[in-house]
Amino acid sequence: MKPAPFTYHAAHTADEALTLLDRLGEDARVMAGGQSLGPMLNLRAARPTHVVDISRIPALRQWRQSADGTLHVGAAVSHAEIEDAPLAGRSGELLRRVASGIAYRSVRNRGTIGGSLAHADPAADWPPTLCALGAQVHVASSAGERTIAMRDFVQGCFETAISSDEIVTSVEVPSLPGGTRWSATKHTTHHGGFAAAIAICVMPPGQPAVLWLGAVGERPLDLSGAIGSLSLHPWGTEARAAAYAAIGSALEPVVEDGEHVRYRRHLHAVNAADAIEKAVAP
Amino acid sequence: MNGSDIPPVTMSLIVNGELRRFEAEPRTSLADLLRDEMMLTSVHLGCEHGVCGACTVLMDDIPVRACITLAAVADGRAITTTEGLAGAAIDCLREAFTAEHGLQCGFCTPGMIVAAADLLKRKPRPTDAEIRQEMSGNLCRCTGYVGIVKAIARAASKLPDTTETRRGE
Repeated sequence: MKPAPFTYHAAHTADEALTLLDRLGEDARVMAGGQSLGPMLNLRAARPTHVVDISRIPALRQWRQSADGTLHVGAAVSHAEIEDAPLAGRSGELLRRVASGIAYRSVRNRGTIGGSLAHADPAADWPPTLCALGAQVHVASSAGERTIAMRDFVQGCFETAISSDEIVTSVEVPSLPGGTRWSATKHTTHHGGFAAAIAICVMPPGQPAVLWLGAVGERPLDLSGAIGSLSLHPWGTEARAAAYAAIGSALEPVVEDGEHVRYRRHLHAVNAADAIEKAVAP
Repeated sequence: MNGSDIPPVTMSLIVNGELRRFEAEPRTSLADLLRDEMMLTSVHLGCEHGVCGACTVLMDDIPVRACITLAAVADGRAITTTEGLAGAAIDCLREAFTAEHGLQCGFCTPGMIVAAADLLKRKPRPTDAEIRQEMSGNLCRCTGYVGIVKAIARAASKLPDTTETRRGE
C-alpha cells in the first residue's frame, strides 16, 4: 500500500529539525532511517501530515570513543555502521554483537540507534542492551538539552520519556572493566525476525551480575535482582536450574496475560538462562 | 487532506550511472520512482513493508529496501538496480543462479542478486550457515532456498579471495 500524503522536510542541522518540530507540532513525525516509520507509513499505521528527515544531519551521524573507553554514538548512526565500527572494549564488543543481530543487512544499513530508541518497539534490541550497559540518552529540544538514563527512557509500548518536540541526539555508553563477561541472546522464529525473547547479561569482575530482558512486555525488564542472590559459580545443572527458577518467578507478575502464558515465561526463562550460561561459562 | 496541496519534492539521483532529475509527491517510494519513472521493473514490490527483500537495490553501493525508502531520501545519491549491476561477482552470480536453479518465477531474484553481491563483498567465503543467515531477509516462495544457497556458494567459490573485508564479526 502507499502512504497517505505528507509534506517532506529534510533537516540539515539539529537546530533546523527542532525549529521544524516546534512549528509543525503534533502533526509531524521524525524520520531517521525509516525502517520502522517506513512500513508504518506504507501500511497507513502512521499518517503524519509532515515528515522531518533527520537522517543526514552530520552532528547526529558521528561516533567517537573517549580515552577512558566511553562511547558516544550519534542518534542517526546506523546499526550497520555500529556493526562495522572498530569499537574497543567490552561495551564496544557487545554493541557490535547486538547491532549485527538486528534484522537484515539492508535494514541495518538504514535503521539507526536513535530511531530504535525513539520508536521503543517492545521487541527492539537496543533498549534492553543499553539498559544493561547503563547508557545515557541525550535529547534536545529548542528549549535546550537534557539527559535521560536509559533505564528511564522507555516508558511503555512505543512510549518514551521524550516529547514530540524533542529528538534523541546521541547515546553515551560507559566503558566496562577489562575482564567483564557479557552475552546477548535472543529467540526468533527465523533469523532477523522480531525477537520473542531477548536477554542481555553483563558481568563485570567483582560486581553483581546485570541481567535485562527485552521483548517481554512493554518495557525492558531488569532481572539483576532476581539472580543477585544466586551462586552462579561453578556453573552447572544445579546453578542453571536455580537461575531458571528465579527468573521464572520474577516473570510471573510480568507475563500473565494473553495466550500461552506458561510457554512465554518458559521461553524467556530459557533464553535468559542461556544468556547467563554464555556469560559465565562461554 | 488533499494531496495536491502538498509541495512536490525535487531530487537529483544517479540511477545506473545516469544523472536524472525528478519531481514527485513526497510520499513516493524509491521503488515506485524507479519503476514508474525509469521503467526499472526489476525492482519488485512484494510486501511493501520491508520484510520480503524483493525491492532491494543499492544506494551509494549498499543494499537498502526501496519500498520503505522515500525517493526524497535518495536525493544526491547513486542508485543501482539489477539492470545496472556489473562486474565479476555479478557474472559469477548470474551463472551460478542458472546452474543451481536458484530461481523459478524470478520475482525474488533481483533482490537476491543485490543482497548476495553485497554479502560476497563483505564475506567472500561464507559458510552455508552464513549464507542462510545473511540472506534471510530475502524471501522466496518457489525454490525452497536450497538452489539459492548453492548458487551463492558456487559464486563465492569462483570469485578471487579479495582482501577487502569490512570490520565485523
